Amino acid sequence: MTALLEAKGLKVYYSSPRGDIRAVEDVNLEVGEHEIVGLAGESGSGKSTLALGMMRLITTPGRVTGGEVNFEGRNILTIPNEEFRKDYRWSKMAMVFQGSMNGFTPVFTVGDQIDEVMKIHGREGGKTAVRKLLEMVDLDESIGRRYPHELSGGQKQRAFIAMALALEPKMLFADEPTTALDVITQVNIVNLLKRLRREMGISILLITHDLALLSELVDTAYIMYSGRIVEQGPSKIMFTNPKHPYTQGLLAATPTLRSTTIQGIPGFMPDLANPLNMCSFSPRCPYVMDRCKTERPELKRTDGEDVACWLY
Amino acid sequence: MEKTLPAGSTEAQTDGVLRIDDLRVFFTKGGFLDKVTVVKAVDGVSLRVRRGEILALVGESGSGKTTLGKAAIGLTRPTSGAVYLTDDGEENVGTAKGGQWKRMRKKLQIIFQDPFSSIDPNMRVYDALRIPLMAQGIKSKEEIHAKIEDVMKRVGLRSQIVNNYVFQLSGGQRQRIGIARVLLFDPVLVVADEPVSMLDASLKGDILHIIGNESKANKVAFLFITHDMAVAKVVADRIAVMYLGKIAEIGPAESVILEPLHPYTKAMLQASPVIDPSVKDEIIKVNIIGELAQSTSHPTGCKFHPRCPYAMDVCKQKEPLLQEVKPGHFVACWLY
Repeated sequence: MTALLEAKGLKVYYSSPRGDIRAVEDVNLEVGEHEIVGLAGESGSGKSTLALGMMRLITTPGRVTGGEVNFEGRNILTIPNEEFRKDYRWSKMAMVFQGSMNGFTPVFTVGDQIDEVMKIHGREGGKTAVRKLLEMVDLDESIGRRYPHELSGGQKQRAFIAMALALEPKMLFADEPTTALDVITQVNIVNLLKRLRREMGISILLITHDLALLSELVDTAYIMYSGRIVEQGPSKIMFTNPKHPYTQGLLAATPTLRSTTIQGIPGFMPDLANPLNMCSFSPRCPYVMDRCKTERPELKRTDGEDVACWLY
Repeated sequence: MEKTLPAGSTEAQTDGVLRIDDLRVFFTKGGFLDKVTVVKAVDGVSLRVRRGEILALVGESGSGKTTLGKAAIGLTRPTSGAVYLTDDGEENVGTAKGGQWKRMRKKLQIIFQDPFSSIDPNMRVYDALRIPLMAQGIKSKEEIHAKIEDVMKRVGLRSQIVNNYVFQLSGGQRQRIGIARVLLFDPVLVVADEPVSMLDASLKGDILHIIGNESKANKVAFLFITHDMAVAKVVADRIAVMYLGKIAEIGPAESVILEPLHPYTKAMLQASPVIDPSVKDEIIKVNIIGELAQSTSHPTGCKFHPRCPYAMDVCKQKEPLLQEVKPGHFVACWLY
């Protein structure tokens, strides 16, 4: 599979009075054509910053301090702003956020807002195009004539996905797209994403903290901890045989209908302002060894996956 | 309107701490240049909560679970029906006033969803715990110290943390303080309104453990409000599934999860994700029509019938009552 989107050695730091917060430190991530990739981790692990970095949406006090982001082989971090706005953002890579259903302005109908996106980007737009987009996300065309406040959360989230798809992007970023929604609505959104990949061949990067949701949707999963990827691999391997103690801990902590108890992971994430020459998970790790405290493990190929852990 | 059977009536007679009788809570909206719509947030709920049990209230947004929780501890007045605190005699929560209300309030507490907005960040932890005690008339320094030390231990926090400001704490620590605050008064019943839904996976387990422990060791009953079936399964003794202000199904947690009866419960369970990468290329089927009903629309008969794949004629005409299908397991559905 050729990579459609690829982060290579990406570093994103936030300036702070205490020094740079190293939110994303030397991360490699690939999304192939027609692939759904998942990125998971706790709050503060850097997953959203990584996604923003790949979309070129980092603003001060944050900055990309190293690495590149290649889209179809071209480094998008060096493209002039205006060209990026015209040729890439939305038209090649679009995004849906957790609260994006609140991103509609309340004073225009949903259909007009979707139409506007197409017109501003030089497409024809019009009622038929809007209807087609709404159909794609399982919404009736009458939804287009309604105002955002007349829709339920799930309908708004779907209408927003329709808007994200308006310029037929090849790549969709979805950051916690179902977090505020009820389970039945959530499953419908998940099914919609699966269908979009199948029918339109769109690639998706899904960012979530919900491992159960992730396991049922993605081809490849990345687990992030304190700014670095600690485990990556095909979801069929990772979720049947997780290797990194952090991944194992997260899975044991995820409540599902099959769990009888759930366990927490004691301790906290280290301060990202102090770079450590050790495994950053070692203070919380049940299998910690001497080596973990003096040397940082790199990602290493193990049983079809890449794991950064001295156990392997 | 017909009366629903008191849920759990066979065994809940003894050692109940709270009894809800045919409770209705309606809100009106509109009225100015608009027609008045009545939102029936809670529409005929009867249930009992036993001493030290964790009863999970599960439902979609708008199902009325939070309103029911608020009414249970007197934060919302009933439109009709009543809530009784029955741990020691019988007192009406909805009509209590003055000194009686102040006394009852200690026994009925609430934990909120968002630990970032429910505790003043500019307070020291010690003050966040001291002020409620003083408001309840506990003035002696030794007693306050002892109480605070006790609750800090119960929620698993080092007692030195009391000197920190609330804003210095992490989300998990703040939620523990939220729990510590309600435990100060040895409550009989605590409404926990989505207490873990804002927390990271690594913290959920600890918070659920604290709640489970309080219910077993200190006989605190919890009305645990959640939209997550999996969390309900892990924490609860009994589960009540709410739909548009009514209880659709109530029973022992195991029984409701493993042998659900109501079509709505079944759909919620089908929709709950499990860790299973083998379904990643499949469309997940959920046996339900449409999404999220509005609490302003009141279908006749069974409120669930417009979304129910098994709807029959009788469902459109007559409202089903809760009936006991298995021991302690009640369902309101014409299929049974």
